[in-house]
This record gives sequence, C-alpha cells and structure tokens, in this order.
Amino acid sequence: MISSVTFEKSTWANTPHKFEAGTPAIVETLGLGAAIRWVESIGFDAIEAHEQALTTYALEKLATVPGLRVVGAPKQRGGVISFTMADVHPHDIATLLDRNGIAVRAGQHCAEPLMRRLGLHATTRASFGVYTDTNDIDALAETLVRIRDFFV
Amino acid sequence: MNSLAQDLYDRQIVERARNPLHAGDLPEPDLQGEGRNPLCGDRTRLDIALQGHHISQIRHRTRGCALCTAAADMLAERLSGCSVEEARAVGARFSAMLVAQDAPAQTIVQGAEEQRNDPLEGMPSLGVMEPLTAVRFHKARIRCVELPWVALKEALAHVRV
Repeated sequence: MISSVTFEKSTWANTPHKFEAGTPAIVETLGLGAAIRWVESIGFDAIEAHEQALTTYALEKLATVPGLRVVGAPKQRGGVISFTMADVHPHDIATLLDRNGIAVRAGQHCAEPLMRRLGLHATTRASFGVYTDTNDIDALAETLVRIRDFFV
Repeated sequence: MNSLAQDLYDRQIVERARNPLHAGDLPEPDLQGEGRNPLCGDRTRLDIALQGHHISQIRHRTRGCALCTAAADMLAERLSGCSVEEARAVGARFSAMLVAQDAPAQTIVQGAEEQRNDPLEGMPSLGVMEPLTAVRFHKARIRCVELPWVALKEALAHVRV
C-alpha cells in the first residue's frame, strides 16, 4: 500500500501495510465460505459413503475394460484409482478421455521413486468427488474401451 | 473414438507408434543423445551414424506415448541423409510450427509480397513429420513430440559445422 503517489515520486505506507498489494481476495473469501457451507450441509459421512460406493462401482466397471490393470489393492481406498492399460500410454489415454469430457491425471504423479518401485513408467489416475455419479464412471469405462480399440 | 482422435492422432502417427520403422540401436554410433521428460517418465535415446557432415543413419529407443514414439521415428526417417546443418534447420522449422498461431492456410490468392515475408521461406520441408503439426493445438502434448529433438540437440551439441 502506498502513502502518497505523484508523477515525481511515491512513498509507502508503514510495514506491514506497505507489503499488502491491491484489493484483498474478497470474492474468493466469500466463495470459500459458500463452499464450506455447502459441504457441511451434505455432511462428511454422506460424502464418504458416496465416494466409497462410487469407488466400489468403478473397480467393478474398470475390471471389464480389456488390458486395464488397477494399481494397488489396499484394504481401504479413497475415491482415487490409478491404472495402466497394456500397449497404451497414459498420456494418450488422458488426451482422449479429455476429448470426451473426462479429466484425469497422467504421468508419474510427482512420485518417480514409487513408480520405479512398482516397475511402472507412468499411470493414469481417475478420482471421484461428491459431484461425480455412476454415469460418469460408465462414461469413463466405455471411453477406455474405445481408446483401447483405437490404439491396439 | 475415431471422431475424438481424428485431428491429433493421424493414422500415420498411430501406425508409427505401433510399428516403428527405425527403432533400435546402432552398433557403433558416432553420436548419441537422450531426452527425458521427468513429468511423465518418457525417454528417447538416439544413435546417429555420420558420414562426413551427413547423417547416414539414425536409430531411436523410445519409452513414451504414441506421439513421442511417432515423433522419434519420423525424425529418424526425415533426417537420414541430411547434413547436420539441414537437420538443425528441419528442427528449427518444426519448433516454429509448434508455436505457430492458428494462421489461415496459405491460399493461392496471397500476393507475392506476402510470400516474400514468409519466415518459413527457404526452410526445409517437414516431409514425413507433417502429421505431427496437429499437436500445436494441444499445448499439453507439445513436449511429447519435442522430446526426440531434445535428444538430437544433445547429440549434435559438440558437432561444429
């Protein structure tokens, strides 16, 4: 923040105010408040149950996709599934899923040592949230089958 | 899927990725270079044989996506027989194409003056690499097709022409 500005020179407010630039994040603050109220209105138990149901459904669905292998089989799994597909690179998968409106992450996921430990070069990773539904999972599985057909 | 993939994954790219024509090693390469992308784990190694100042043969070992593998294979084909200078010029043209804005295609009505100002004038053609040009509309994938050129740059780093 300034103290005074002219064409000839500027002077600054005293610290800490001199380091506070521009308009505070007012819109973002209000938005965060609305988001927190929305999440609390649903409740974390309901969100967890929803994500668990989706994850179980997704694991069943993905098991039917030719050449697909889910990475890891933990007793407890959050709404996140990493997978590989024989003969199709994760980046090609991610680009084509994206073209069908499905956003995933592909690559080493900032975890190169783990990739090496698993003997993998890269994976594709789909994750589910409170806004995801079973139609999205169906679209994911169906698009993956088409991607496999395209490349192999 | 064809409709989804059509513009980016040209049939020639998919075919190259599936069955590369120039994959492998050279027994006694004159030059070697490697390109790595730490974000995705992809890697290309080039073995290059020289005859004087000309590239007589290139082989690549690529661990990467379809675009990266096809780009490496097309590089090997396009640059075989080129002088080192020409190889660099093809690379410069390829780089220029990857950052090119969506300029209207050259049409026959464009005047001679405009053609004189064409920055690509006099640069070598992309030839077999032409299908890769669609990547410029997919920013996240540009690194994939550049990786073999990173390897080439390393291989040619100490070659003076």
